[in-house]
Amino acid sequence: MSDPGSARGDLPHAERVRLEALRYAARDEAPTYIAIMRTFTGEIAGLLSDQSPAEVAGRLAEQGIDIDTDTVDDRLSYLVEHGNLARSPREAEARSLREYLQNRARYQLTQRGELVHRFVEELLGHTESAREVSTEMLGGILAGLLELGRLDGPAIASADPDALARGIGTLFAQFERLVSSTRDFYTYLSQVLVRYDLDRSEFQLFKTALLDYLQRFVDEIARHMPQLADALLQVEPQVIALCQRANAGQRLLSVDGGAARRASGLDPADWGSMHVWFVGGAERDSDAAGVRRLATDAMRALLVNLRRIATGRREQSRYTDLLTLAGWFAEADDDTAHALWASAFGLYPCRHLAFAADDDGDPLPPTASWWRTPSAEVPVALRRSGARTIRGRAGRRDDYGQAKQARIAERERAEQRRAAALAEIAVHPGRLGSIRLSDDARAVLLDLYARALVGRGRPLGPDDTAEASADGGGWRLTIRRSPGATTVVSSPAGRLELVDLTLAVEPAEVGSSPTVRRIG
Amino acid sequence: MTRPVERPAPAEDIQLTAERRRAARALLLTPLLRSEGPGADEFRLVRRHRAELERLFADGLGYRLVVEPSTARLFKTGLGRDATRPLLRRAGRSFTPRGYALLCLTIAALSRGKGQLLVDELVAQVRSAAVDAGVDVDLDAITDRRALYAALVALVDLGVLHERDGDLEHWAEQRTASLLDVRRERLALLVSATLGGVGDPADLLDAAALPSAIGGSRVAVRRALVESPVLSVDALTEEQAEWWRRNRNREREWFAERFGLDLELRAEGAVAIDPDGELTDVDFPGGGSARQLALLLVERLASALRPVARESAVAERVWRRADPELVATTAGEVLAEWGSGFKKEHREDPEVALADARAVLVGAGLVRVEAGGAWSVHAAGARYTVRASLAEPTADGQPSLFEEES
Repeated sequence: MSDPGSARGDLPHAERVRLEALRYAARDEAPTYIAIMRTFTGEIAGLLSDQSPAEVAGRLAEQGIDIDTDTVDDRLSYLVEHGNLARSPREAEARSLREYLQNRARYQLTQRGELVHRFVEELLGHTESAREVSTEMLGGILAGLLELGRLDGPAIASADPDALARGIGTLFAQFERLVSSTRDFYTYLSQVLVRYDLDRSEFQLFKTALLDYLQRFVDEIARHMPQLADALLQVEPQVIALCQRANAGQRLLSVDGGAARRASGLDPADWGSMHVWFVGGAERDSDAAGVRRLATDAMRALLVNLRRIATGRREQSRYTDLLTLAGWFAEADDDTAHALWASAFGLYPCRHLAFAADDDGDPLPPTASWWRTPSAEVPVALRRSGARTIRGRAGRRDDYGQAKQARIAERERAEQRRAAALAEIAVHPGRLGSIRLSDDARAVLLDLYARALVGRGRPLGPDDTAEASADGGGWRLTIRRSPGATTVVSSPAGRLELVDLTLAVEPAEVGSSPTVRRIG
Repeated sequence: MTRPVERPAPAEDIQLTAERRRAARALLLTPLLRSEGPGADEFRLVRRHRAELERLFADGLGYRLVVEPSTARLFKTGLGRDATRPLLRRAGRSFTPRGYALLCLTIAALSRGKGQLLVDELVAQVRSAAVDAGVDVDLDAITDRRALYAALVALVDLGVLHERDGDLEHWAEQRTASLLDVRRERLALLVSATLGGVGDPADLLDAAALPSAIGGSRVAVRRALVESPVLSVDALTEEQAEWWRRNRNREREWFAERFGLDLELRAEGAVAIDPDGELTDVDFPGGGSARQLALLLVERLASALRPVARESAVAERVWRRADPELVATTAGEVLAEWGSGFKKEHREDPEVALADARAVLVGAGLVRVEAGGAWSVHAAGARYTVRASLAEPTADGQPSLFEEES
């Protein structure tokens, strides 16, 4: 029925025309239209007959609606234009010109009009009330499926078509009831759960009922579901044979030769929806499992609602209190209003005077009088000019030039001493056996020694060497482990003996960097 | 028989005490603290020391403290018929009664609505709330629209409303659209007094000033000291005065430890001074010509009244009356001498200057206006007088500016 146009979001012309049939119910004159349509659909007798405007007007007058015939005629024409009614083709012999003109206009109901009006009536009579899910249908569906499942090939071929059709029809009618009632229930539930103005007593009433009901509903679905799925799977291979047999009786043909539509279930295609509902589709869960999930969601939403209503209860009573307060404010004068603000809302900050008068070290007795005690120390600026900022030039910058000079000179001296010490060590090339050094030189030697070992990182083994390069001297100090050998350094401060270690002054290798050697 | 060794109580961690003090001060200054905005650090401290703070405020001041994940609310009680703490608009003027009424209606409308709404939807709900309340509101007229705008801005500043999108600033004039988020948990924390059952505004004001039965004098006196600049003995009942006389020295320590406030105790009452000068909404003495004029006025009036006051009995010297003529002449002298430094409005119109200065002094609790235009000056005003002292040489010949008071 759909064509490429509907894929684009467009309704094809034929469908648009069909939807025109809905228009009458939304117009200003809807009451009149509905009354007119009721005259056509009201009783069974009216379904087959046709009526003239005069007759319709008469019927309306009986109900107390006074409309003149011309208006009725207009209304009926409108309904014809939009497909709800059709001009009757029945010919009746007219006896006069007037009768002929009158008879020309006779109207009867169309199929579309009947369908639309049926829905309109349902909408008018619909109340937003709870409707139970017809879980009683589950039992019936199960029984029906089991019975059909018991029929195998030959049994089907010999079964009575009418009985078979009856069985299938009942089954699908029950299924239809179940699905529509479930849908109804859940739309009701979703509306109720988001309402803000639920009274506590109202909510109390149906909260327990709702929770109980949901629990029972979930239980029943859970109980019947597996069995239904199995039974359905058992019947499905036979579906085509079953439908064929059920359709074997006399069939109605429509005007263009095609078979008329039969009740739901007698066409194999209808079984697909039941399959989806109970067993599930290619990638989706069965609708019944979805129903169970919805029930859990509903229970959760119910609890959230409950929480909101429980706290909202306080806000309800606060609403009236705030209104009263607003009324008081509106009638108060300025001072009373400010006092009311402080009393009702309590959002004022505290306030204190500034500047102390008491000396902490010499507190005055509490019985002293303010008139006699010392004043608070208020900055003169506040009295004189009402300002607290301090203005004036920025101070002079301090001069550190001399200190800098002194530091530089001192550093230079230190550098010179170090260079002298290094030179003194370099005077002893090769292995340092037993040497004399000044204190400074000894300190520098030990510094190089420490640097060498630290640079090495690991303890010295028998064949290992640690080295440190003397900065700028062009030589390096090498340390080796040599059991039995000792290095002795004598200086004015004392004697240093390095046991089992050999220190040597060796020329630094050209092009080598200290860091490279240290890793080795 | 050996007795178990008594260990001294562990020294209170200085850091913790300091944090609690800071949190308590923040709550006193901003009774509604939020997790976002300028008070975020203090809010974190409040949350950390929540249990102690709840106890402190409940036992010490009889205030209820509620700490929620994003808001801390100290429910202060009323001040009686004190009109010196109005709600201020952003520009600094106070709310009008109409503005307050619209604020109440807005809060009522918000409490019934959704978590997010357009300004226009809110306006519709306020209208219907106004009808329910019987208040005549015309939100098409510009005055009421401005008042409603002020109420909305006040709610935004309190953190109850948040402008998600659109332009709220120009709503009053241009009716621009704006999307507002509602923080409903803060909305529920706004009203502090229990309004149910109160029939009259006067009842509400008086009930608010009454201390709770528990704590009695202690709570009442402490509240007065914490919230108001000056505690005056003539405002205390017999019972409270008795309690105060017995306990005021101990209160000095309590205030210093809990809030960092130094109490200055005198025969006529007490003031609580903040050494940092921060724990107040309005500074006195402070900057600006109204406050400067106020300081100079109170100084001169107190000096003029002092000679007689010193010699009077306590009951006579708490408040001293300054006749309207004295006030007028003093004001004239001050303006003549210092007026050139004042702002233009005050220079041009002495009446306005005097009115502003009077408002400052009444707000600071130092002056009461009597019938006929006379002022009553509180003894605490004497602490702002200037004492000129002659530097006299002391025993060892050194001139000293520090005079020993007898």
